[in-house]
Amino acid sequence: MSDDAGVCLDTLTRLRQAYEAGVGGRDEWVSCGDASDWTSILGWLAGQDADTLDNLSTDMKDQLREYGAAFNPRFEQHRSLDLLPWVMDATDWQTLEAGLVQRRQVLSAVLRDLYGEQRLLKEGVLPPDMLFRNAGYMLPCHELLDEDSEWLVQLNCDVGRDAQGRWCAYGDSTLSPGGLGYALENRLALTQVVPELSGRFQKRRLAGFFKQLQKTLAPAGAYTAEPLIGLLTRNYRDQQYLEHAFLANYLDIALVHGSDLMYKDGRLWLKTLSGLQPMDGLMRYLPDALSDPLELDGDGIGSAGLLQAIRQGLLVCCNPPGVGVIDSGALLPFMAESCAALLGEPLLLPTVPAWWCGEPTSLATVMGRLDDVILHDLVVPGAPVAVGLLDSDERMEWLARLQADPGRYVARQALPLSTVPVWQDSTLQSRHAVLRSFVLFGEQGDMVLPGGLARCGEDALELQHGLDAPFVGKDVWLPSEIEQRISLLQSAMSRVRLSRKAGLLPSRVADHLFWMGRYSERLNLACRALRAALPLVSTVAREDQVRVLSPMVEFACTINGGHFTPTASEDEVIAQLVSLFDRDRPDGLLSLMQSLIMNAQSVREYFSEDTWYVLERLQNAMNSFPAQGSTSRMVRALDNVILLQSAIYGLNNETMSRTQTLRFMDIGQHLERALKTTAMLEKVFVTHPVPPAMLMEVVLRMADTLMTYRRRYRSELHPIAIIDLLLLDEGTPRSVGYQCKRLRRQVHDLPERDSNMPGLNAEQRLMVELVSILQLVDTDELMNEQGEPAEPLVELMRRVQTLLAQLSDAITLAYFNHTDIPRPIDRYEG
Amino acid sequence: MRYRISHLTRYRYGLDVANCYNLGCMSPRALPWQRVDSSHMDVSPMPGTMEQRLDFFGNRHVFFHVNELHDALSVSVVSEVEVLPRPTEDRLGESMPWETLLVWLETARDARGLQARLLRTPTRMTPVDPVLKAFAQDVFAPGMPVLEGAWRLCHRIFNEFRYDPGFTTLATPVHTVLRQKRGVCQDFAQLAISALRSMGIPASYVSGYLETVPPPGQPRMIGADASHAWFSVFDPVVGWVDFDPTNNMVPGERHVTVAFGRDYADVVPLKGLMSGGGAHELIVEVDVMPLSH
Repeated sequence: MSDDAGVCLDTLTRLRQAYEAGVGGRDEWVSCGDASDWTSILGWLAGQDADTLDNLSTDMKDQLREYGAAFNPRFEQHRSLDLLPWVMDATDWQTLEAGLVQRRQVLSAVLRDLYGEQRLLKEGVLPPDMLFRNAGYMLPCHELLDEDSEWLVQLNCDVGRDAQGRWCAYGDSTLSPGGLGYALENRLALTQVVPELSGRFQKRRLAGFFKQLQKTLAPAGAYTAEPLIGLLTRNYRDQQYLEHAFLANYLDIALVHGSDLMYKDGRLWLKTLSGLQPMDGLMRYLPDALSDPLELDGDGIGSAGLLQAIRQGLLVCCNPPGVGVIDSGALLPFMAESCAALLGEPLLLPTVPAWWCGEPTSLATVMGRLDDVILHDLVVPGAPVAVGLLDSDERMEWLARLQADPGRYVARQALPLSTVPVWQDSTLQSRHAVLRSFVLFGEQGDMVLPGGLARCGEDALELQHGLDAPFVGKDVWLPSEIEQRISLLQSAMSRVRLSRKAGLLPSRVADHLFWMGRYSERLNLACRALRAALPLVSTVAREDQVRVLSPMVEFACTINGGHFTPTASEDEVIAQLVSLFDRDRPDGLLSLMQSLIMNAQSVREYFSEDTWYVLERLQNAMNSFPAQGSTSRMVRALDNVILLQSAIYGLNNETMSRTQTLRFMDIGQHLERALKTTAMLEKVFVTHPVPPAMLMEVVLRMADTLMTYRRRYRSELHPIAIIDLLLLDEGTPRSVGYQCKRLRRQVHDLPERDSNMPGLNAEQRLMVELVSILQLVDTDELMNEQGEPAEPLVELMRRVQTLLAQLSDAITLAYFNHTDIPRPIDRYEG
Repeated sequence: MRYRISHLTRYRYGLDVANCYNLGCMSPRALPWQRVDSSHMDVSPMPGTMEQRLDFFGNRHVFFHVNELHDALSVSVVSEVEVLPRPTEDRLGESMPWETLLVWLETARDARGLQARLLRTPTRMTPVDPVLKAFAQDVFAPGMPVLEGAWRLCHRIFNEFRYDPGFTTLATPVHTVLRQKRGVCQDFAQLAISALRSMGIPASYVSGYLETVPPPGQPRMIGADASHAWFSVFDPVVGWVDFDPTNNMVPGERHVTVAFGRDYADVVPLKGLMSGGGAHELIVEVDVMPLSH
């Protein structure tokens, strides 16, 4: 070991010399000297060969991908993580920490003042026009909170180094979680992928902060014994959705949409399958203006009554609507004065130089250093604009805007930033870095996440924009004196847990799961039909092709609501088959896949990482479907899809807990299978009274029951025997009879809705009827003497399909219907 | 004058509504020239929650949630108020020259001054721009007292615009109103406000009622009145003074004030969200009844 260390030290010196040559300004490693914790980290790096490090980098990328850094393969992975952590000096951190704590307090006090007595305006600390024009300033939020409540529960503050090497705040944001999930993912990924590096360094853990977050959002002994906290997200298309899903699982809180919430009797409730559950705390990601469609923006997607619930004091909102005035950047120029006026103390953490352009002298200053400033529009908030990065036309345009209406803009100076070492392109390179830090209010004092979310990039100016651009992340390590052992997550790879309180499944989630089950089975059946039919294309005599293929192609074409044109031409049948693989066909296989993915993504937090991995493979498989090509290639592609789907079923059965979650998906899947299998049998046997043997074989093959049939009958194919096997027999796993038996059990175990209602509910009654008509059928009546389907068979198949459709409606009505979102009543016209 | 005002709003829905959230702003507010003796809101079916609060300007808003299944909703507000002659009616000429007002505002930081500055900030419904500014500036001669200018703007709208209830909706932008020269009371008020704010002059939107006087020899028609809107302009010497561009008058004892704000959106009489309901019909009846002394 000691020999080894000697070699490393030598390599480290060389490494450092090479690195130093590439560093321009202040560097976090170089400025620290040899005795720092960096030496231990870089010493490890020096002991590895480049291939090992590159492999680890790739592993890291994959690990983040599993956490969801990029689920949709059409998106570029939006962030990656460097192998090396940023190790921070303890004293340096203490100064920053104290400054951050004070900053949250100042900003919280500013908000209370602006939405209250407005001393800051009256005393001339803040220019009134800067506030009144600010889109983040919302009059309905005036006096929203009582005197004792904290306006700013969580502050996300962006800091970087200024020219003197001091930490300097350059941006504040108030939407929760604001990158907390990323910081956590980074820590977990680094620990997991490079445990030997992680083990070298005793660092402060993150879990204490998250514990505090839970406490702050549901104060001890507050409202309910088992507090319910939600994270109000936007939708699965949002870039941050996966961070939310990840964090919701880690924090043991519910990921909710506006439509999952409802105001009633003075507080906010979560709509679940077992009725309304009171919410104690809410982390709010939904932008202020959208969060309450009644009192704020009428087109909002939030929850009507959110402001009222906050006013009535039974909900801790992190953060309450109205705080967005801080995100606008409007307070940056006035931090020191606001701190002095409200807290009576000097500001500890310097703020980047900034100017409200509505003051003529400030405008002049800004005009003099345009290329160094980043502009914030107060009226139409959006991404800030770095003038230095604009081309000359854009620059002129912004100049004109600024001069036409200077009071609309705040300008902040760009910081020079420091650099940190990163492992990239098989070498050690220096990159500019910024740090997003997180401050949390607590009854016993504020808490700062030890470390934070560090982002690195080549261009210092670009880095200071926001979180939306792709970035290289860095875990941030702070030395710890004592070993800390608090973890909310038993193991980074532990299975995703479902609702923590039994039955606490949001109705919207159940709805998505039900439809995921249905679409998944629909896709599966379509693929099976095609896979069974396709090999016949080249092997069967042409005149037989139409008779054999046609019902199967018709089945696959119509399964998702599409159209099939009956035809005597085999070319046209095959053309219709091939068109199912067409990307743009709204009822084709790819659009089925899209529906499946959409439902899965909306409830992402309910599936394990492995399931996501397979779903991603499935999506890739579908995306690489041959548009045209040999039948064997198509069959292989279909094989692949069917195989991956089996893997998903298996994983879900293995990893989803046996609660209502799996039940809704299971009901969707088996309801769909029963419905579509009946439809297929009707197509084959009713429309073709005497189907060709080859078609019957295809039917059995498709249902994976050819072997069962052969074992049982050992003879040629009889329609009645096939109908018995696939429609009536309760022992065949793909038969309608089996599906109905399973559905009856599952429906019986659905959450009770109204225990006062005697007897069976609508779904249960439907199931009793379904199971009994299949059991009571007289098989002799199903076929006439010529062995052709008789009227009772046709009636039975139609009845089964009607009852199954009614079952779907009954479940929707009973469990999903209150996911309806209130919509605006046409405005009163005076 | 004393009035009993009854304001009834009824919705009938095609399908049942399970949940309905509403915000009403229909109770007259107290003012130096207006005393509110009583104001009651009755909602049927009975709301599960009914909470009231005062907004930033001191207007009364009522939040209510109806959470029983219903196919009709009725909201009735009955208020009794006494409106006194306003002390400001004959003082338009005493106001500051508008240029002086603009300078005064730059340093105004007391509560009254801040409110005035807030009320010259553009909003989505009352934008500011050079076209709107030109429309106001035409009547504001240099050095003209601000309230006299506002009075002329009021005339101008009354004379050049046609009252046309069928033409605009609540979403019609002031620019369309300006181009087409047609609209209703909300449109005229918001146009005047936009034009004044484009010049930097504080102006507010006022919602309320106007007692209608029947033609000679005919009886009053119950429920034929409507809610009304006009605008108000600020001068540091005289205070806020109202102007009614729809009727070309300075509001007096026949104008009952409910609320004021930056624009219509701040003081919507009744707005709501519901789940279900399908198509629906709306009936509004307003009655401003003079009470004998």
